Amino acid sequence: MAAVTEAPPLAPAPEKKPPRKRGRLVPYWLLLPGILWLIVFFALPMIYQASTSVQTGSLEEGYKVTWHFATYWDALSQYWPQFLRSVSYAAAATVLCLLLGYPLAYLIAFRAGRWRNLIMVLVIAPFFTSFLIRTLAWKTILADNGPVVHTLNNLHILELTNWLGWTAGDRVLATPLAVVCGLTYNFLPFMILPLYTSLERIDGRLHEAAGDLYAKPFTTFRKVTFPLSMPGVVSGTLLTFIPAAGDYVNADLLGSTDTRMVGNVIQTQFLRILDYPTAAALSFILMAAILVMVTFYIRKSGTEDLV
Amino acid sequence: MAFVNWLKRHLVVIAGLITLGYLLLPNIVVTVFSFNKPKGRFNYEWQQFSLDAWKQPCGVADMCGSLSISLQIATLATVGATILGTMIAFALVRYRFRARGAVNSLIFLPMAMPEVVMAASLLTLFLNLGAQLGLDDPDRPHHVLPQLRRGRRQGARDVDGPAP
Repeated sequence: MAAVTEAPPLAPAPEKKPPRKRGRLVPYWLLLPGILWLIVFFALPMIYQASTSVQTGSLEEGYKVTWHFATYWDALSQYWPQFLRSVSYAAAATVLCLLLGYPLAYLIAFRAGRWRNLIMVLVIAPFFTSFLIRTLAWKTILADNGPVVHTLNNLHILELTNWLGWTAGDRVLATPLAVVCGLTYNFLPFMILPLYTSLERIDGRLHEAAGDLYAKPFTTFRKVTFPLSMPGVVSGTLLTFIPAAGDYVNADLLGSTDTRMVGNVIQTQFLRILDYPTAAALSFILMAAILVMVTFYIRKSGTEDLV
Repeated sequence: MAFVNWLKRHLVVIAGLITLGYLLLPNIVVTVFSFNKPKGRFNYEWQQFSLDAWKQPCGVADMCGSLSISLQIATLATVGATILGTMIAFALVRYRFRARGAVNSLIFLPMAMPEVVMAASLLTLFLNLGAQLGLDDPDRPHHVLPQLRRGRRQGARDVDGPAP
């Protein structure tokens, strides 16, 4: 609670600016370039893809729009295990990110003192190297005869994870555990940064007030800190879950054929099998699934505003 | 008992530092293995110390050329996303107008889209247009833009006081 005593006095409330009357078109002019960009590079590709997903034909003869909606059903019935896997891996990684990221964000916000900037730099530092290389480094770390696997083996943790079906035999690589670890690692900063932003805005004197009201540290956390950090939790989980569900690099590098996620299927269909309609249909199903889950989550968490 | 108390008081710090270690471990491994002398094609097992990899940074074919292209694209993407994102953020925070909700969801949608879907649809666009994928990768600012807008929005809000 060292930060409490250092809290600056409350800043005077900023004066409200008078509402603008002139220039009704100004916001539209400001929006124009960005929205045009989004239309050309987001809406248009989406429309093209929607049309691709209902086409039939072959690569040699060319594809034609035949409103063949059965592609969606075929894709779903063939690849539902990968969908299920994507969602569960992404959910596991998101929960792990929250559990790992919260203490670090809390540490930076309240306990780091003069180390704050250094730790912030260290959180962002991994971004300075390509994430492909960093993911490959996990291959070395989790290597079959490496220290990590040895330790886990000696502590009999692998027996437990084997029993849970997360690992197989004496290996960690090429198992679900490795893929979830990779996902967690790669998206951890996306969890920490919004959490930190939310935590940092909490007035330290609220902790002091909770203490004055005889709240134990854990009660203070449960009743004051955590509820106030909810916006960060929501945007952090979204920024982790959404890209993790569509990720294919971690499953490709750290997993095996048994850990293929839907992103891997889309990538293979597009680039190797060249079955564009199925790939497009899969993309749309994934997008719809994520939108439904995200909408539900935002409603449930009561945070309409994302930042 | 004193140790348990100490542990209790510093639990957050310890947990935070463990996370930090988890984040930095791969970078440390990459750095260490850059001094390795791999036996075959793969650099997964430690063999012996060597400076070979550091002696010729441009030794690998196309390495430095690709680096310059990467930097060009990154700079273009950053500048583009900053300009477009700041303008949108300004419009959204400072003004109330009818299309606000629609604009907000148009900006949120690309964020709710997994990258592979986004990449797949851009690929479809280019395939349909018969265009060749060249240096100008328009995909990047497109991804950065929504993220940046959120940061800007936060910033603009700080200036303006709490937004309704």
